[in-house]
Amino acid sequence: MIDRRSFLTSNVALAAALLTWPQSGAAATRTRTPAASWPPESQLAVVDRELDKAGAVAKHTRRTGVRTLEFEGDVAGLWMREIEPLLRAGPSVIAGYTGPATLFCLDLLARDFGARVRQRADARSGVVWVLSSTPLERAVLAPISSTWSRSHA
Amino acid sequence: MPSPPPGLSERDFQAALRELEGVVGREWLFATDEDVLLYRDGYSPLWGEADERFASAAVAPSSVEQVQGIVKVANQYGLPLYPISTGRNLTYGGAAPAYSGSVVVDLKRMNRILDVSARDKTCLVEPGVSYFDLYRHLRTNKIPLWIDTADPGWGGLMGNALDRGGGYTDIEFRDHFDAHCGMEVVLPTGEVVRTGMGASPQAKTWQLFKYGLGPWVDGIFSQSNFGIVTKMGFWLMEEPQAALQVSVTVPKRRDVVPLVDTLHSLMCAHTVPSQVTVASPLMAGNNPELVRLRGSGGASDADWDRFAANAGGAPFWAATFVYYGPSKVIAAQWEHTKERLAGIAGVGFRETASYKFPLTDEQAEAVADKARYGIPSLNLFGSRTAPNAPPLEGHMDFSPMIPPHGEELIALTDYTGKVYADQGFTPSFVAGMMFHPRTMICFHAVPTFRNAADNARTRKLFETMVRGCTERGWPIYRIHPVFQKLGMEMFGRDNGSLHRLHETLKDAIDPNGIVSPGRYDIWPKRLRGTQA
Repeated sequence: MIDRRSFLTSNVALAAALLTWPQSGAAATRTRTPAASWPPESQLAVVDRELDKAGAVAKHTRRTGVRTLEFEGDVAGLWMREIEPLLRAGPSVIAGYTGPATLFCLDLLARDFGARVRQRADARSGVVWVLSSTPLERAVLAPISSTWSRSHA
Repeated sequence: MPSPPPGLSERDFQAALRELEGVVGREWLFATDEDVLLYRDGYSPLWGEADERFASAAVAPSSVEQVQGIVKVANQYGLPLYPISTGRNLTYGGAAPAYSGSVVVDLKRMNRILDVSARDKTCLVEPGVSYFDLYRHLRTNKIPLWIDTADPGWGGLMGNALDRGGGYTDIEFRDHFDAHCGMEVVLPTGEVVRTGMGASPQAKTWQLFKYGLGPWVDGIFSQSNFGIVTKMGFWLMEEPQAALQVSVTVPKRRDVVPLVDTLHSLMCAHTVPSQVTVASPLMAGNNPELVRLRGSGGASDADWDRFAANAGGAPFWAATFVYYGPSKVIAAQWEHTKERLAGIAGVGFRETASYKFPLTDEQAEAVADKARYGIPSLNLFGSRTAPNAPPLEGHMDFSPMIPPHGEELIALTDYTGKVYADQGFTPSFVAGMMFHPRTMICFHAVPTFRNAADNARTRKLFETMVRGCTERGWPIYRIHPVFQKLGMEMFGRDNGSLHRLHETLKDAIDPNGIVSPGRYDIWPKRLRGTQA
């Protein structure tokens, strides 16, 4: 069971993992941020390759132990394959370095799973954010499995 | 706490909410301020104003029986309901109710894909199934069928089809309402009706033959408030072997006439299968000379062609479309298309993308124009904002429908260009889109804001165009709930006989007036005449 303390801690850790990537004008750090106290399979970082220094951000979050996935511009495929299943499976925390339009979309989509944007910081060419759900939030809109699907295939 | 619906006491409202809780369970009733704000129209042209539409609560059923239970409570208390599928069409009002104070019936939990038949190329879905869901289902199960998705693709199949939205693939599938086959509806009385062949209990053709026997009633459940649709069947496109995306350009303004005539003829002959967009790359943006010409409302072809020449010889119009099928057939179709268009001086032909199917996930990810290949996408959001500009402000779609004639496209965009300029807005992009077999839709993006002063201007722009385009023979095909009364006034022939027919049906089907009061200006008797 995820308690409030570990929820807050993991948010901070994940946000720190993203917010301390090397960028001019910001304090850079090469130290490994301690892994969040949530199970690794419930954490994800997403990075838009089209943004400045996206490669460096992705490398940094991977070094901190967070599973990191990249995409180019359109987050729909990642949403379908990775983000939505993660949110549907249970409490999860997702951090991102994306454009504001992507965050706008993910924020709206994730609400169906009781997830909300917890932190946000505008970077020079994108937005850094953390979105998460917990058992404290509304129950997820999990589908009831269909038994009909293969009947005519 | 949100206020009760107009005309309902706080005590009765709370009693109704408790009964709704009994139907769906406590966790699926949303009645706090924070909950209700999730159903706010983020692109509302009335943002922050007294007339902005808000839900009073929301309830999320998981079954037809629960929907019936909700309807029963609503009838008992006179509680107005507003059913939504996924509620994500932000340019047409999103999840916010047409009648402020309604209880949103959020059908997202009813999200089962009930059946997919690769053999018959059909599916049967519940209202909460999104394009994402069905696409993923088809890919995961390696079913060689395509969806036809709206763009962006985060919405629901049923919600989009019931508002008569469209997509981009083959003509048989991209008019989403036309591509449906059979529905199940919970009537406002609580009765369940299956339409078409579904009304015959053992029929094997519910998703195969649309009409059943007797009057075909499906149409009355689209763009209306006559029931809560709980299942819909759709025809799906068989995955083609290949596809070729092309662009045809023409240099002069008036070339759009033979361009559209020819492409439309090829579309009717099924030689050009996909949706065709005819856009003017030159007429986008806020170049001062462009704005001047568009704002004049009547610049001559010579003026425009001079503008084009000064723009480095870029084509005036570009048509984009896709062929689907075996490669040899595609090649023949493309050759024939080029022959038919060769008579336009300066016509250009370009092959912009080609694919062989099935695509891997990586290949699908890399497709630029995803909707034309049945791949749902969120790209449209990124394309409408400048880098670093948050899409906090939004837009509405103004969607007039014209005959598939290039001269009508020119005349309409001359007119709307002037209206935008007169109202102090940069004119919208210029494009005619052939979603339907015999028309073009000329979408215009009308910006919305988070302040009353700018929204007042935007509403005036929108209303002016609705009236002006109707006067010129181009009424809209779909409209934001805030403007649905105005929109329906444009269909007031014979002293409003169509409106009276809608009211007659409403009185018969929904005697207590509980389902979506005011949607498309159809009011129940108890509220008729009370709305400004």
